[in-house]
Amino acid sequence: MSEARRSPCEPDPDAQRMQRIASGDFSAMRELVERWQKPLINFFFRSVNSVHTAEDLAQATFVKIFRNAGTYEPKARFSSWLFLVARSILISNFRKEIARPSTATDPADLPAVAVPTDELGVFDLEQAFSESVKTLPENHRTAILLLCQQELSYEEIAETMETNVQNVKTWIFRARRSLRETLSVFLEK
Amino acid sequence: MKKNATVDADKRLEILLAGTPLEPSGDFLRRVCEACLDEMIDAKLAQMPVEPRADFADRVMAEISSGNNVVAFPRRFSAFRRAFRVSAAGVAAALAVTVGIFSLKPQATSLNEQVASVISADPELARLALPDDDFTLSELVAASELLTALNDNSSQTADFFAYYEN
Repeated sequence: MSEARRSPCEPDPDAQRMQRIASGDFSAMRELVERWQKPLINFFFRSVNSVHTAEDLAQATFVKIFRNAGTYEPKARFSSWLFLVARSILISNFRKEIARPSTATDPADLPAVAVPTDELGVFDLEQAFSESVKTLPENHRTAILLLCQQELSYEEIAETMETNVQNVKTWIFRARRSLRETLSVFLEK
Repeated sequence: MKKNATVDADKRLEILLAGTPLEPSGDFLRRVCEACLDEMIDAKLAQMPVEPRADFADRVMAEISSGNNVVAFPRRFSAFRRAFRVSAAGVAAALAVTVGIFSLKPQATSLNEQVASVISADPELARLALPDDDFTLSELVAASELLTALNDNSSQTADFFAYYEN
């Protein structure tokens, strides 16, 4: 993400790409996809259960961005807008998942191997971490991912999540506390 | 006399230096552990463990240029199938019936009547829709629900068929 940190005076290359897309330059869309595919897929991957779903959601985000290129206004950093769209798609996906009958779970969606219990002493830290992140409330998880994974500032996160900085700080504090509590067992070993 | 005094002073200094008069505060260990955990949590949150598949950008661009969400169709359809607890045979029947409905001229009859009309006009479909080991009556009902859901969103249904027909 070499373009990620710029001085506020410098033009945002992604905003320029959006303007090119709006004017019909299709190649700018490919540049945008290639630049943001990995951050976006990984953002979704921390919230959902599979790489396939993460890719589907990332794809839906790109399509939505493409369709809305004409209405995009570069008021803020592009990444704030990108993750605003991504979050709305993530929340929409959660609603669909909730609406789905729980008994209709496809075996293909289940983990291939049962999660080992801690009593066996083989509980995997990485798996525990992933599960802990997924079980955070959506706003806590999104806030801490935007801070640590996507390197957005508190102000940018507040803008992305359409809230104020104080709420963002509270959510991140609670997310950290929850992760710490869940993972502290590994330090006690 | 003066030499002895120096020795005593050195000994006292040694004793003082060897001593550990300060005890860590009660929560020192916990605070260190928390700081280490925070370091680990931040490092893991910053990770991006998933690499996009090599053709991801191509597939997104193909979807955008076609105007269809083609790549996601199989999984999306699978989600429909699970949501309505319909077997693969049920899906096939639902698709066939819906194709049949699309081939009909627009009519004012109810969806159930349209389904009945399509099934009765197609012996193969009628056979497929018969309750048997592969396709139970409850699945037929579920398939109807699936069909209704699809029918409620005609643009999506059209996309499905554009995909499956190709």
